[in-house]
Amino acid sequence: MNDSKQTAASGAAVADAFASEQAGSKLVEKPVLYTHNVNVWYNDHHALDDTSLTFNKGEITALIGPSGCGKSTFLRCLNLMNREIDGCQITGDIIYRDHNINTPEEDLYELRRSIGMVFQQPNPFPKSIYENIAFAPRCHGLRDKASLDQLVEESLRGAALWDEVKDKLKKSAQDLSGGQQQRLCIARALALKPDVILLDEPCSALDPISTLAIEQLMTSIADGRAIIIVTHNMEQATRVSNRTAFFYMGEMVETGETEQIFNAPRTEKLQDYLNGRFS
Amino acid sequence: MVKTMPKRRLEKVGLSVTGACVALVTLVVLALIFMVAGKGISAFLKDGVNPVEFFTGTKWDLQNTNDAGMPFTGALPLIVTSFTVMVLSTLFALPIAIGSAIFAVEIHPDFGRKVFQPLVELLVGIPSVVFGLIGFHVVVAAMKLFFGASTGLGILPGAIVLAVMILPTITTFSIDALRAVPASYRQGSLALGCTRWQTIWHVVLYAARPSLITATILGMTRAFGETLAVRMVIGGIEAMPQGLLSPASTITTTLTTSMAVYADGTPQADVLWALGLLLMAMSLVFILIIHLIGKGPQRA
Amino acid sequence: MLNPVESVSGANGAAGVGTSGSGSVGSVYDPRAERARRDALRRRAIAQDKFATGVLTVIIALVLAIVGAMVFYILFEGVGTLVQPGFLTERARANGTAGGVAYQLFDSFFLLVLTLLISVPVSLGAAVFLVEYAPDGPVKRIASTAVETLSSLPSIVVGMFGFLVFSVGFGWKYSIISGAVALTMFNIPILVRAIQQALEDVPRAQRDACLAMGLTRWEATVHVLIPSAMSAIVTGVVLSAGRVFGEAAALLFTSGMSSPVRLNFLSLNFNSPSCAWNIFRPGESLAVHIYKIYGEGSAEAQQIVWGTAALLMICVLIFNVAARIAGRAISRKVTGQ
Repeated sequence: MNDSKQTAASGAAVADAFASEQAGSKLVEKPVLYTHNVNVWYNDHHALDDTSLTFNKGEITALIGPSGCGKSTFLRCLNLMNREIDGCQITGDIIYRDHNINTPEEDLYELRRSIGMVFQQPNPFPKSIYENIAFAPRCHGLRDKASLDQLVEESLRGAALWDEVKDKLKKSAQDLSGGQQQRLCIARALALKPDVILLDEPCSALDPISTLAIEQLMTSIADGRAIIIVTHNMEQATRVSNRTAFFYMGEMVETGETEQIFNAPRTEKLQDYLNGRFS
Repeated sequence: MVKTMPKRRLEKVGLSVTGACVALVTLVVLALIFMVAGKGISAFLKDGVNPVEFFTGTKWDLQNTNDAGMPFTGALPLIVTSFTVMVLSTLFALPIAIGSAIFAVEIHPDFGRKVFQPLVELLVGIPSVVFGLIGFHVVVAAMKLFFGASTGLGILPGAIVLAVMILPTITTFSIDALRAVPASYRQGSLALGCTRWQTIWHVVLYAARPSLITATILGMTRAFGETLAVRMVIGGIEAMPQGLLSPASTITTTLTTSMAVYADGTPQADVLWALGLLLMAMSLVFILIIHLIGKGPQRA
Repeated sequence: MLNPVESVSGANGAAGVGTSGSGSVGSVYDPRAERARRDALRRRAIAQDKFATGVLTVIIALVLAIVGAMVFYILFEGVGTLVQPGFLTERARANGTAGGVAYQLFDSFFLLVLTLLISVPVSLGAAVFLVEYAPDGPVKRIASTAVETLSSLPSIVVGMFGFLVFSVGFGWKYSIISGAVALTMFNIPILVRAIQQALEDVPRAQRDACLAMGLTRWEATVHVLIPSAMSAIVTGVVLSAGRVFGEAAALLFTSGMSSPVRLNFLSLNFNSPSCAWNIFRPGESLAVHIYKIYGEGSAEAQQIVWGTAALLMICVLIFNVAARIAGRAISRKVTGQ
């Protein structure tokens, strides 16, 4: 895979202008992914209201907020997983690699291959550890055994799992512990060489030690990638993220450097939330 | 990476291959419904069989013809027999089926899951001719022994054989229905100091009522359409049943014995298709009832 | 929805719940009488419970006895014939009232294999469409209703339709293929439902994981969902095979009630009426054979009937056991070597 930018799609000029306005002048590189006024409806329910956010490579962004605030809904817009839900409608621009992906013509398969996703519950396939990782690249056209072997090892190393499983690659993935399964799911995503990884509360089903392992892992995989993590755990957000966005009632209320968000919240809602007035 | 088939095309291929399967099944069912209906109705339109005579007449005789050259097409004896057999067999099977479902779900769930359900599934798998054979040798003999019937053939042995045949159907669906009742209902009732039986009777059965009715109707559907097992024990005389132990004939058994006899297109064959139409209409009615029940609980 | 608490206390006062059910309006409250009354109620409730449990136990014993008695009776009557030399290997003579059931046994399996060859792919496709592709809407509703209709139709009606369309309409006459297609119509609703259930039982997360990696629904289905559901699918297919194996009513007018007098298993001339593999020759399954000769009075015919019934039962038993074993073995294999 290479990172060559695709030719700019329609409206790229507008998008560029918007991006620089959003991200400020301190960025050298253009953001890999940003959204502009994204709205989501589930039938008549307006689940997300005018959300605009920017994500850069090398940064970990945490999306926080009380449950039902729209943070997961937003996350699932970024790889258009919401399109799989009957009655869900997304409006607004989601600009990835300089073109708007929220169009009917967008190649969902190509998109999701380069934007990885890890779910709340570890969900390895009922296959061997090796197959769990090799399966998707093979479907995407990588048939060569040696390359696959190498890719599997690389991905497992990337997810800090190689040493634990290298002797049992042919064993069922479902015999692994919960934390190992979740790291396998991350390895599975890494195998497709994504430049954005979405994590939807990846630690909420795990014990503290596994959680720690995943958090350390996040920092290491953020190199050259944009990591976006939904979490209901505010400590986790402070530990792992560079930037944080706070969602409330389907609205993105405040966003900024993580330090600023937690130490000097600007909005009253966020202050109330941090003080535990609602959760 | 080597490019494989574009994903979008692959998705379209999948959609069309599986869609074609569904379309095929749907078309075959529609074709079946329209052809059976067309053939059945032609008996009335083309051959001039009187519908009133068909539903109320008591003389069924396809071999002999009346002065107008038409066979005798009074299907009431067959209809009455079919319904009697169906109702009787359901009456026999229902208490046993629901009772064993309660036992298998509420009283000994482990036994129910590991021993009883596999055995009931085995009962589903026993071919209907085998039921008929046992009916012919055991039930019919028992009828002769206990009731002094001359042949032992008739509606009662038919209903008994059918009861055993629909027992697994009703039991399996009842077990599913009872399992679907949330455990919290039971705990709520037991926590009030109710006995297990009171809980079953007033809470579990009450909550499962619609599904239990559906289970019963599925059993009745099977009883109404069952052919060979009934044919082997009912006697096969197409006349108004004189009692539960006199030879009779249902719609299905008449079809079995007569269908291959008459050439396609003759009034006789068409009247038999009218019987087929009646069978089909009944199963459609049963499905409709099940759908209406399915909608019921949401309204309540 | 039903509120269990309300329905219980409303439906019976026998539960001994507090004093609210005492109904002592206007009368003087007498604690001793009240307690005695409640004790009596409780005793009655417990007696009722015991009685009901007893009745249910009797019922279940009855069902077990019926199943057991049937199986043993058939085996008892039939095994003697079954083990006679030649019964399984000789052809029938004198229109089935003498000889063996070799051809019937072969025809039964021939019909079964053909039926599964047609019905498994179609049912698999239909079930995948209904579970994975069809959005909730009219298409799905119509297709599901069609499958449901097919499953509730009496098999004799399916047989008549097969006779009309395949035997007469297509000119296949009484033939194996005609019977196999009729059996397919009988089998499809059973299979579609079993496979649909199996696919729906695969967790949603598996599907989402595939889609999130940029795979198509088709790839997700072929590589993940079907393998995950394989053990349930195989169990469903083998159980349905048992049903097909014993079905007779749909065959009477389609594959016919007689096998050719002599079959040549080595012949590869597929047009020859005596070629065993010719799908356009008539054929007779074991179940139809029983129906054909059950009324024959001769002792030999009766022996053959019971032998055939025992054979049929044993095959069905084997299908049942095989379904479970195969299902378990596959689920072990799929989830890891």
